[in-house]
Parts: sequence; C-alpha cells; structure tokens
Amino acid sequence: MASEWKRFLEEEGYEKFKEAMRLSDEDSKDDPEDDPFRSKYRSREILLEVKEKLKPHLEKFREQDQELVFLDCVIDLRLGVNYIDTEELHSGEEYLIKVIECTEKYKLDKNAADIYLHALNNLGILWFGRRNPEKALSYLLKAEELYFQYKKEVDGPPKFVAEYLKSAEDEKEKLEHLRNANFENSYTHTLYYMAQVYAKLDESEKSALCCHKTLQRQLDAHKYTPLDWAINAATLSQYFVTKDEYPQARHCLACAEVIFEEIQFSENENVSEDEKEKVQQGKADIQRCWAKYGLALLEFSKDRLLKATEEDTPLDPDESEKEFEKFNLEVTSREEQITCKPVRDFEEARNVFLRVQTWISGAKEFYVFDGRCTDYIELVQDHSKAFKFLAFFELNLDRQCKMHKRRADMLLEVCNELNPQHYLLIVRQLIYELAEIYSGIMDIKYMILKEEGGQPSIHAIKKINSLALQSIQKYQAYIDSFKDNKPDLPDEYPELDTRPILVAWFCMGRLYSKILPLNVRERLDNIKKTEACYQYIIDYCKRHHKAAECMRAELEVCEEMVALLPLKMEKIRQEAEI
Amino acid sequence: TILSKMPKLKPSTSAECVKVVVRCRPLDEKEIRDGHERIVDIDVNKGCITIHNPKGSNTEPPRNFTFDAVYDWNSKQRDLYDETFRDLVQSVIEGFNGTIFAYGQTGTGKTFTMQGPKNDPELRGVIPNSFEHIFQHIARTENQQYLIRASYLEIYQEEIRDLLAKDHTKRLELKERPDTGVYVKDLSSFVTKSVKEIEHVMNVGNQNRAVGATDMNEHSSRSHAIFIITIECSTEDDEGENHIRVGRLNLVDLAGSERQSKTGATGTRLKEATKINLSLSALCNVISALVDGKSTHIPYRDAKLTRLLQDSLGGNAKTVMVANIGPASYNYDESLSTLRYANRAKAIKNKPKINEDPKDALLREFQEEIARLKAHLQKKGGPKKSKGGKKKRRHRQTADGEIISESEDESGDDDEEGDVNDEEAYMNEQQQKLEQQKEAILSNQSMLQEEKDRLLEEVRDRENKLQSEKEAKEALASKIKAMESKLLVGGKNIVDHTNEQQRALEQRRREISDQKRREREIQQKLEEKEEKAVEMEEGFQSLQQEVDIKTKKLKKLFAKLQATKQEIADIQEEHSKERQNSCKQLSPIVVKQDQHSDCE
Repeated sequence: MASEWKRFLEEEGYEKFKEAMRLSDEDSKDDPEDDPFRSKYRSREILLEVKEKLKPHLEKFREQDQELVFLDCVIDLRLGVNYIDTEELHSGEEYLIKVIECTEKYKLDKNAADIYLHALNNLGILWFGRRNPEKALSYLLKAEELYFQYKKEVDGPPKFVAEYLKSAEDEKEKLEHLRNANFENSYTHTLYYMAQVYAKLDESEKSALCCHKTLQRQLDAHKYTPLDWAINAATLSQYFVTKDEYPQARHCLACAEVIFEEIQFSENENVSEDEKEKVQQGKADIQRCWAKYGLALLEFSKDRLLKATEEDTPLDPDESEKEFEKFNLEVTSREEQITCKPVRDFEEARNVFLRVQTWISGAKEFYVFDGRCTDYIELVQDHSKAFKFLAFFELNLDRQCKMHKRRADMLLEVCNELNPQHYLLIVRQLIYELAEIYSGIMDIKYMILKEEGGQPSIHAIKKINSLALQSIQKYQAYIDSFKDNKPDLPDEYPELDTRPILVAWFCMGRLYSKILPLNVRERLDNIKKTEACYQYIIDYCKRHHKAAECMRAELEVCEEMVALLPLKMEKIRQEAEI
Repeated sequence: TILSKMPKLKPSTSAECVKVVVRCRPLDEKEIRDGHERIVDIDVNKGCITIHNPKGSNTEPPRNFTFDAVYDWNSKQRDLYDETFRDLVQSVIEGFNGTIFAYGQTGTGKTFTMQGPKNDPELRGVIPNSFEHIFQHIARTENQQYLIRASYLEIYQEEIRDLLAKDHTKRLELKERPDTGVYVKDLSSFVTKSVKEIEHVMNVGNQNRAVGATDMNEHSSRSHAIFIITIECSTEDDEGENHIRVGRLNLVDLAGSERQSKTGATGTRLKEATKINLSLSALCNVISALVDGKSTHIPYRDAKLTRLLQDSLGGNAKTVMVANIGPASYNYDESLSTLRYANRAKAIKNKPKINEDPKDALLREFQEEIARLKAHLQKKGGPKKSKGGKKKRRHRQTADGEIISESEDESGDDDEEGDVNDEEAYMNEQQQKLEQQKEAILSNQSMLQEEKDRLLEEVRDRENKLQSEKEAKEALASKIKAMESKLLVGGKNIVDHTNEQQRALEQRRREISDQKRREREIQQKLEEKEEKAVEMEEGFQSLQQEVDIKTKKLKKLFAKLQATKQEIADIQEEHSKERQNSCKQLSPIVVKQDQHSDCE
C-alpha cells in the first residue's frame, strides 16, 4: 500500500533527492563558464526521473494518500525553481502555479503551508524578474498574509519543504525546532523580497521597514553573518540620517558595532587575506557611517539654530523622544558615546566633533591615500566639513580663523598630490572649497577689524590682502580647469558647471574689491578688475540665456555694479587730483 | 555606476563629453530565409532612426529616436571610424583619456564593430583602425618620442582577468594611486613598436578570451572585454625640458545587454537591474540603493567595470557609446530597449559636487554696497559722463592649463653621447697613467723585489677595478639603448610609408566626414527650428490664417500626444504580455482542475 512508495524512497528515492539537491545547490557554483547550467540540468533530470517513478503510485493512491500528493508538489516546486534558475521562466511558472493550485486549499494544513509559502515567494521572484513589481508584490503579500494567518490559527510549525526529501530520522523535539526555524526563515525571505520590490516601486519607507524587519529576524533567529549584518545595519542608519531620524540611526550604528565585534573574537583561525581585508573594510565603513551620522547631526543642528534666529522663533522641539522599532540588543553604553539630540552650543558641538574626528582617523587606517585614494580624500573632505560645522558654534573669531586654516591645510595637502588628469572632478571640488575657505577667513578678519575699530595695522592689511589673493588664485585655477588644454576659456561651459563657474567669477569680482589698496592707483586697478569680472558674467549671460536664468540674482547685482563702478572710479580720480 | 558618472552629452558644442551613435546590422541570411521583416528605418543624414512595432496595430505610430549619428546596414567600418572615433583617438594621442563602449544585445555586432573579422582590411573594426591611426600619427611627427603600451583584460562575474598573462585565470585586484588613478594591480602591459606588434597582442588576448569556451558567443556575451592602449608622448620645449603627456584609450566590448542583469557588473545602475537578489547576504544592495542618491552616499557596491573606468568618465575624458541593434522583427523588444537606453545615455548628467551658492548674506552685502555707492554719488553730484570707462577688460591667464608632469631621465637626452665620449677619454687617461706607473716601477732598479711586487699588485688591482667600472658603464649604456629602442620617434624608427597621394586622400576623407557631420547637425537644427516656428507663430494676419496655423499646431500636438500615448501603451503592454501568455497556458490547466474536482 502506502508503504510501497515509501519503500521506493528509502531504497533509492532519498538518495536521488540528495544528489539532486547537491547538484543544484553546491555543484552548480563550480559549473564551467561555457556550460553554466550543467549541474542544474542534471539535477532537473534526476527530479523528473523520480517524479516519473512515483507516478504510478500517485495514480493509485491519489485519493487516500495526501502525503504522496504533497511530495509530488514539493518535487514540482523544486522543478519550478530549477526552470527559473535556468532561465526557462515559462516552464518554471507552470510548475509553480500547479503547486499553488494544489496546495491553496490546504494552506493552513501543517503539511502544506510551507510548500505554499515557498511557491508564492518564488512567483514573487519570477514576476520581479519580468519587470512587474506590482504583480510580484501581490504574491509576496499573499505569502505574508498566510504567515500571519497560520501563526494565529494553527498550533505548531508546518512540515518544511526539505523534510519531504529525506527520510524522517530526527527526534520529535529537534524536528519541531527545525520546522519552526524553517518556517520563520521562509517568511524572512518574503520580507527581504518585499524590500526589493518596494524599492523598485519607489516606496523607500516601506522598503526600509522591510529591511529593518529582515535584519531583526536574522538577529532573532541567529541566522546571519556578523560582517554582513553589521554593514547592513550601518548602511540602514544612513537611510535614517537622510530622514533626520537620529535616534534610530544611532541605534542602528550601535548595533552594527556590537555585532561586528562578534567577528573579531573568532578571528584566531586561519582566515584568508581576502577575508581579513573585508573585515578591515567593514570596520572602516562602519566608522565612516558613524562619522557621516555625526556630520549630519551637526549640520542639522546648525540649520535648526539658523532657522530659529532668522525667523526669530523658539527652537522646534526636537522629536528625539519618538518611539521607534529597536533591535533586540543591549547597546545603551554604545549609544551613549554620542548624542542623538541636536546640539545647542559649542561644548555640545565639540563633543560630537571629537567623536567624528576619531572615527575619521579610524577609517583612514584602512582607506589610505596611496591605494584607496578617492575614499581617503572623501574622508579628508568630511574632516574639513566637521571643522566647518564646529567653527559655526565657535564664538571667538580668532579661533574660528584657526579652524578654517586647519581645513585649508588638510585640503591643500591632498590637492597638491593629486594628478588632475585622473582626478579632475575631485581636484575641482578641492580647489573650490579652498577658495571658499580663504575668502571665508578673510571675511572673519574683516569682522575682527570692525570689532577692534580704529585704524587697521599694516600686518592686518597684509593678511587680508594675501587671503583675498589666495582665494582669487584658487577661483581662477578652478575656472582654468575648464580650458581643456587650450589657451583660452571655452565659449560655452557644460550646463551643470555653468553656475559654479559664474559664481566663481562673481566671487573674484567681490574679492578684488575687498583688497585694501596702498594707493589710489592700486585702488583703481582693483576696481577695474572687479568690473571686468562682473562684465564677463554679463557678457556670458548675454550669449547664453540659460545661464542668465540660473544667475538671476547675481546678474542683477553685476549689472548695477558695472553701471556704478566707472562713476566711482571717476570720483576717486577727481578726489585724488584735488 | 557608469550612468551617474557619465558626463552630460551636449551635441555639437565644444563641451561635448558623451557622444551616442547607433548602428544597425543588416538582416543575416538566416533571417532572410526565415522570412523576417526589417522593422528599422534609418535616415543617415538626419541622424534619425525609426522602429516599427511588428505586432502593433496599423494606427500605432512608429518610434523615432535622434542621435549624434546613426549608421545603417550599408555603413562602412572605415566611415564609422573617420566620422565617429577618429577625433576621440586623436585626443588620446594628445593626452586625454578616452573610452569607446559598444553596447547592445548579443549578436547585434558589438564585436564586429570593435574588432571586425581577421585578415580583411576593409572590415577592420575600431580597435585595429585605432592602431593604424596611432602609429601613422607617430610616423609623421617630429621631435617627439612616444611609448605605446597595450593591456587586455576581461571582467567576468565581477572578476578581473588578464588576457595577456600566462595564467589568465588568475584574479586581479583594483587599486588606486593619487598620481595615476585607478589601476589593475599586476596587469601585464606590453610595449609595442608597430601596428603588427600591437595586433599580435590583441590576437593573443582574443585567443585567451575564447579558450575553453565551446560556444564563443555564450562566453563573450557574459563578459566585458577591455583593450587598453596607453600613449605616452615626450616633447622637448624651447628650454630643453622634457614634457610628458599620457593618454589612455579604453576600448570596451560590453557584455550582451540581455545578460547584464545576470553578470552582475553592469553599465546600468543596480536599481535598473531586474533580477531579484536571492541570497540574504545581498541585502546590502537593497539598503544601499535606498541610501544612494542622497547626500550621505557611501559607495558600497561599486562594480569593477565602473570603477575601472571612473577616471575615464571624469570631466576631462571623452566618451563615445555605440549602441548596436538588430533589424529583424523578432528583435523588436530588445532593440527598443537598447534605443531607449542609448537615448537615456545622451542625457546623462555629471553632477559637480560644488557648493556654489553665495549665501543670501553675500547678496545682501552687495545690495547695501550698491545703495551706498548710489547715495554717495548723488550727494556729491554726478561727475562728467565717463566715456570709455566701461572698457571691456578681461584678464586671461596664460595657457598653462595643460597637465604635464616632469620628464624622467629614461627619456634619453641627446647629450648622452657627449657624456659617453668624455667617459671614454677619462678611462683611457686612467689606463695610461697606470701603464706609466707600472713602467716606472719596473724600471726602478733601486727598489726591493718585494716592494716592487707589492706595488705591481696594487697597480693590477686598480687596473681590474677600472675594467669592471668600464663594464658596468657599458652595461648601463646598452640598457639605455634598449630602453630607447622602445621609444618611437617619427621618421627615425617608424617610417610613414604612405605617399603624398594617399595622404591627400586621407585628408579628403576626413574633410568629407566632417562635412557629413556638419550637415547632420544642420539638419537636426533645421528640424528643431521648424518645430519651434510652428509653436512660436503668434502674429496672425487673418482669422483664416489663424485657423490654419492652429489646426497645424493641433495636428502636430495630436501626433505628439499619440506618440506619448503609444509609449505608455507600450510599457503597459510589455508588462501584460507575459501575463497574457501565462493566462493562455493557465486556462487548460484550470479546466482540467475543474474537471478533476467535478469528478470528486
């Protein structure tokens, strides 16, 4: 009777299944490039062969023996997945649909629920592959629905797919545990697929939620590789950073740090260089994410204060008390290393700054200048940014100057080493930032003069003039980088660069007017230079109307200034003659 | 990711960075035999390509795309090179970085475009044509030394392999240096001195690419191949200083576009790849996609291909993309998707990350300054009209924008010879001195034999030293010579064999291709203008005219509406097609199922 087909399985069926699974899941990884699906095809043949052998039994016992029917479904499910893996989507779909039809009415049956869930998951994958995320989502939502319904209505986890393909030998208790783990894992996959589908549908919030849940479940089930998990949690924190949800971002990072350390404890075994490097990179990346978190928090705090002063309103109450989904880890001590609330004064800002600085130098241990240049420079730029935000909270003008000077020094150091032929875009960014820093320091020096009152010292004048000239030189270098190896500037700049370039001209014009002249002649010369810069902008905008649109406010100023400056010069001349 | 880094294309301006051209191959014999229809129309002069939906209804308008250039099935490899690639290769010789991509479905002629069949000079592809171009250029220059190196690699499933190394299955790593940018560690590179040599390098690589693959197309459709030519040029300026320029040309044969989602390394953003990640460890792809594009992006998922080409895609590089398509009706979906991709590539923007906004405070400062000036001037009474006060003055920085690095001593100075002569004279002198000493010692009778021997020994010792010094010098000289022989100098160790007539012919050909390009641009502009004219017509002389014009406008807009509608319908259809198919297959099963349950 029923034992007939079971005997067949015991005698050869299970052996065959085992081989088919091994071919499909392990051997297939080593298939040669010119025959990429060799093992998959072999696996398919074996499955078809067993299915064929079971057919007579199935015909005989279909009505009485549900177990056999479900076994047939499992084989179909495996076949469906096999066809999809080998890019025969249509056949794969047929098998999966058959499985769904067969098991749908038993979906709350212990023996069929997992099969049904697997089929739904795979149909989700299939339709996503066919660029139909909506349809994929409908299958995955069904899977999710089943999971919850089953959990609510049925007692005990379902028999899992792989169980059908081997002889029952596990003890009952262990089996129960395995079943539970497998069922939960199936649903974790559902969530993970949903994360991808939502991302495709531009529902980033839902996608992030699914990612979060996936991580949570991996953690709860102890089914994760520490490195991957930590990197994922750290990256997820960046999503929350962009949403200004700092408490949650911080929580993710703290958890990433804790899980990451699990790797370091088991590092005594002999690991390949490759693996070691990956771990080092992971560490550096988590530190970078921390640094980005700190920077974002500082910037957010700065904008918040600016907004409050400009609108003359009290600070928005910060919403950091908001409840959020937490991972199941004890990380309070790690969270306490940095605040998650917007900072309000220099002292608070300095604490954040110091942490950021430590993280950046930590990351620099892996991202070295010679070898991982682009990343290193990005770290330097972040460091400069950290100083910039800190300077905002600094009330002492002299110390503000020193901070900006530090920025200029660190940027100059890398900028001078870079070959602009290979790093043109980065070099441009660096030069531009340098120009901004020099003129920024100059502005602060002016403020100091004003505060001090009275006649400026020769030294102060010299300082201001040299800063203005340094800034001008950097702006000019930035503009010259568009010459394309030719002697003259191009007649038209690339569209997206137009505004930065014209703003550079604009700033140069202003800087010439800021130079404190020693005599009338010099004064007139500088005014002429200023005028020339503004005139350049006007001429350019006349030739290119698109440029005029993106420079409207500055253009107006230029036009007025160009009209006024000759009069001013005339006046200066007259006064000098008197 | 390539797309985000590719600079924006602007047709026919000096700032042009990405040029996109489309090439359609002819129907092959099999397709003709099987009775497939050609569904692609090409207007070479206008740079326009039209594709008809073979399954669409009659009312469905065909789809139009305009590119920098389009090439139909009659196009010649040579014309393609002269019109589209020659300028790019020329800039590489002048020290720029340049990249040529071939994109498209497997079997549409990417490899044909890049390489062409062996042994047929007429059908030579871009790569061999660029060889000839480069070496011909060198042969015609004077006072310049060149060093040409070639490398060949392949990226298969995110692994880089050296196609020229003995063990080409070894995995290579990407590294980055501040002075030379991204590079492949341990990638072999061969100095080549002639077209023949570099062709040999290419052939060796091609063979290695094919080794082990029973079905060449299967493998090549899954891997990206990059042939890299580095051109170093050293010129001496008036002050006798050497300047070196380095240009790099990347010739990229991309994996078949239909495979891109499977090979992992793609030219598209991962977001656009459709294959769902199966392994949970790939969760990071999803998460970083969520973060991507926002300010705090950290690039976790760099593809090898894009990283390797990143400095080529930077602001100072030139890029040409050739999209290849097939003309047959059964290729409709793939061809359309290739054209759409190419169309998107035209509009790629390269975001400069520069904080260029002068804060409001700055503008306010200016407003105040202006107000102050005005007030000041009014108070004192306006001065005389200052004529010529508005003289335009523009300062131009001297043209030192070139990127030039100091030469190194390996470039072999001319005064080397003089040095060698001096050296010889010195040696001879020393030798003579020693001889004299020897003589003196021997002839000196008053010395003890012992003493004599000792002195002679000493002299001999010095002689030996001198000898080995000389040998070392010679070894060095021959080394220098060997290095020099790798350098190419026009007219010296590479001779231009073409005669005047041929040169004139080439010149003419270039002129023609320039002319063609200009014509195409003018055509495109004309079209644009016509369209605008219709829209901009505003002054109506009579009601009748107004009606006419409005009708015309309406018609035009209606056509546009139809086209847009079509676009939407297409996409919808694309999605539902597969659904319908499966429904069809589904119904018999459902019927069976029903019967089955009826039996029960």
